[in-house]
Amino acid sequence: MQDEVITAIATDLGITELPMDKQKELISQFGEVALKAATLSVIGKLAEEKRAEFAALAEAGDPMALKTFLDREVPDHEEVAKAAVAEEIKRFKEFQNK
Amino acid sequence: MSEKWKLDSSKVPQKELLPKFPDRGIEDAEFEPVKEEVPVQKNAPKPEEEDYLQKLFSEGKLSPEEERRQYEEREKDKSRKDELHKELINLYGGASTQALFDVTNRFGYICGLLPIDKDEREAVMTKLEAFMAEQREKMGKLEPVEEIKSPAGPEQSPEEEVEEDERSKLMNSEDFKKKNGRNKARILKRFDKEHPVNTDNGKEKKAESETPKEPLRVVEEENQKQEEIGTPKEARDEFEKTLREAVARLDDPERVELSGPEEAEIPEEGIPFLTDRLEEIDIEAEKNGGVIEKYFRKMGETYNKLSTREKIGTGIALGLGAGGLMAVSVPAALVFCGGIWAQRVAGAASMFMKYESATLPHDEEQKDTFWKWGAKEKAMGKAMAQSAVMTGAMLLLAEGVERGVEWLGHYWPDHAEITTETPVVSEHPAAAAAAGESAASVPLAPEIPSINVEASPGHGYEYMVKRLWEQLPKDLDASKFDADSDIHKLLTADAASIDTVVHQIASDPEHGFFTADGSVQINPNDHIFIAADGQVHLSHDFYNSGPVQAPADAVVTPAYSPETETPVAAEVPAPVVPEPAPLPVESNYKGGIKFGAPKSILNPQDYPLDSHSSVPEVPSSEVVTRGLPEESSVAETTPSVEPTPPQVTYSNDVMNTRVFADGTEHKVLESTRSYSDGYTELTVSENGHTIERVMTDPEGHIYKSGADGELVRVPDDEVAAHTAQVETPAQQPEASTVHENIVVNSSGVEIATDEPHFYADADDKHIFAYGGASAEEKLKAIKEYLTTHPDQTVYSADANGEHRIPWHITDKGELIGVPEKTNGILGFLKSFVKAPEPDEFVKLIK
Repeated sequence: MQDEVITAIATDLGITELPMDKQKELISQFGEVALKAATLSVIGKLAEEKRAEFAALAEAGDPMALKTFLDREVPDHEEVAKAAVAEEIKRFKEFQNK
Repeated sequence: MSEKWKLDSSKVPQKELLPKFPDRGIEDAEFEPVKEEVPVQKNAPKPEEEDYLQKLFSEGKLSPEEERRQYEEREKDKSRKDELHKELINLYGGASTQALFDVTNRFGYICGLLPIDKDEREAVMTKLEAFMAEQREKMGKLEPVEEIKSPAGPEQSPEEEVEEDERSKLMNSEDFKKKNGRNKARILKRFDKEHPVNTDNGKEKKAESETPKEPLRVVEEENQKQEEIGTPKEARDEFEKTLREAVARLDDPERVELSGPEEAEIPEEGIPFLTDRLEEIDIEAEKNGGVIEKYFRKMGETYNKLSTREKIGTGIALGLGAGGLMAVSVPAALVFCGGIWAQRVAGAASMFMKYESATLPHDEEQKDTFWKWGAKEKAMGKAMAQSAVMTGAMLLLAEGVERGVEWLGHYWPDHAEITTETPVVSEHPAAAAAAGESAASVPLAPEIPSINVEASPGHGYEYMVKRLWEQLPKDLDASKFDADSDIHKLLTADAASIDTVVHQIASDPEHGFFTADGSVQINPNDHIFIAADGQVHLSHDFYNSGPVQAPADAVVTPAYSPETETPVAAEVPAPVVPEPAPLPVESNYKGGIKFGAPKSILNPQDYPLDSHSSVPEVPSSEVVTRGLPEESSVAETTPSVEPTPPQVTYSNDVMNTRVFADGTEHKVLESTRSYSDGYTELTVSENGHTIERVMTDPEGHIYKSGADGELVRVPDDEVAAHTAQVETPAQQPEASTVHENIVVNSSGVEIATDEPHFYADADDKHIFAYGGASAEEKLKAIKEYLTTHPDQTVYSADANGEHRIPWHITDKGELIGVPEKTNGILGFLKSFVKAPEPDEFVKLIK
């Protein structure tokens, strides 16, 4: 089943034809890109004076506090993050097609 | 159960299962274990034919003529379907394999294998025809094509053949392969780039390809394909190969593996590309400066420490694998990355891991566990798992009905009318059919509340479950949950019965909270939560398929002792007897440096290594509010409430080995706590006895325990001297001389920066890896070096070039390295050791 989940992600990334270990490696690496890109895009929507608060909340590890904060400061944060992840997927696919 | 579900799904990419979807839709997809293996006979009647014939002959309601007529109609539809299938493959013959997969999957979704019922079959055929018309239009085909008549392709002129031979020779040369890899498409593309063909010839060739000899090709497609693939012969080979593979996959999904991925389309530069992209993002983050820059760096470090499975779990949390349909939760992903599993990520990732471990056809026990979901999840999960849409199933189970249905609707549009506004699974006919239940009989399970209770020192399952109970929303309707589920039991418990309930849950063998020997290791970052199945789970067990046996020398939590022994009358609010478990490694810090002598004796039995928080709880303020009237409050039930102590904002406990002055090594426990008021505390203990205790105040002053246990401030000059001694790296007497890609250090050693080399310091005490165009290149060199020197340690910089990482190699050939830390002062104020610098190298080793 792991293979199937990985295949689902690999399909998103367009890397299904790679060997499984290579797929895993790329997915792992891509995860960090997606995480950072999504975070950065959300931070970009935050007022400067709120960014330190964001970092503090994120580091404190309380998802609900962080969510409440983002719901208030960046109401569309999920969409912003989603768009950022989609953009990274697009970039990656464009790179493959070069 | 027919043999069609005996496919080893682990060997088959997800979508290849789809064409095998049963004729009569989901109702045939009952997800029962395969009882026995029945060898597939090649010429045996297909199960659906058997069913059909059985139906015809057993009922005896049809005349032989009618039977034959119906059978022939069905066969005719099947033939038509096969023709369309072949045409579809032809249409996509020049497209990528992925595109072919996608479209054949859609084809499979629409037709299943073809229903027996005539009306249903006609509806399916109509949809198929419409689908094919759409594909024809999309692919620019004017006429449908039966099949490829000739694999020979267009004839070539002698000039073309000569040119092709030369191209082939060049491309097959070892030099070219070495430079460009083994990927044929890439080789062709690069070859064409490096050896552009005569434009006129190219045009002629393309013109030839327009001749009616290959009716499948239209000009645009052929031109495009020609550019992508190269010579006509190569194109034909590629096309034939694709076609053969596609047919093989459709006929027998298990043969997918035969067409190995050696000709993968993705270039090897994928990792460097992502690395570059990460750098770009990091640079972008740095523009924010300060805390954000620091936070990003920490995020990267944390992420890199995750296992591959956890990284994949993060990807799932970020919506990967859901075709862009899954919402993305940055808070969840960030918190996950920070080491604490958010419910949402936990759900997604745990589903991933459960799917991974529960190989359904082979492991009955795990399968049973896996399928312990509510009726809703079972129904949809079965439907989607059986159709191999694992992401959808995962979404359903982790995210709830709505998103799962959305996903299903997207990928299975012809079988479902999606009503996301009314997320009642029973409205989904496929789901209900899959569960073998009528649509109306499948209740909508309410959303499971997202509550995590973290592990804490000295507390066992009962304590954690009780805290969970306290946090359950009061307005949650217990009747909506399975009566046997933990959540139902908790919701129906009151203050008088909760202790009994939590004990029953914790000791219930079905939960598998303990290993066979009755022990379990609970780690500092573990938590309990209620999963989609309504049962209480410990995070570690949930993600790792079972509890872990505790080490023999591990300390244990005290035996269970109910928190309330006397039933509390509902109308009389009364304080509840606080948790009797002794608090381990108690800090007597209550804020500021105003405390007296620290407790010097720690009871090791009270200190589980898995604990991660030592905030002393204030018994008098601990009140169970759930089950009591609203007016019950701390103020009312507690006559005198102590001032709230500072909260722990960070805690860490590690076992460490210290070399004492007499040269002996001692295993000590180092407990670090940071508090919300800015104070930080370190306690070092051995066998329960406090050896050292150090605190810092918000201004950075350091206090350490004196002989009498009092905390005494360390003079600033002593701190400065010690800090300098610990933190200052090797001396750098002279500036290094830098040439292009070469650094000449103070010892006169020439150090290449563009490729990895190995160096040693004085007396060969340390081996360093330095240089290289990328971190990957350096790691590869380190691995090679350590493979031949497995007992050594190689130091190098981390990916950011900031911290020093000692690399080791395991017996399995895996590289292991975590950033090295300084000893700090008395083990306190630790920081990461800087990355190796050229001036530390005294000689070149390799």
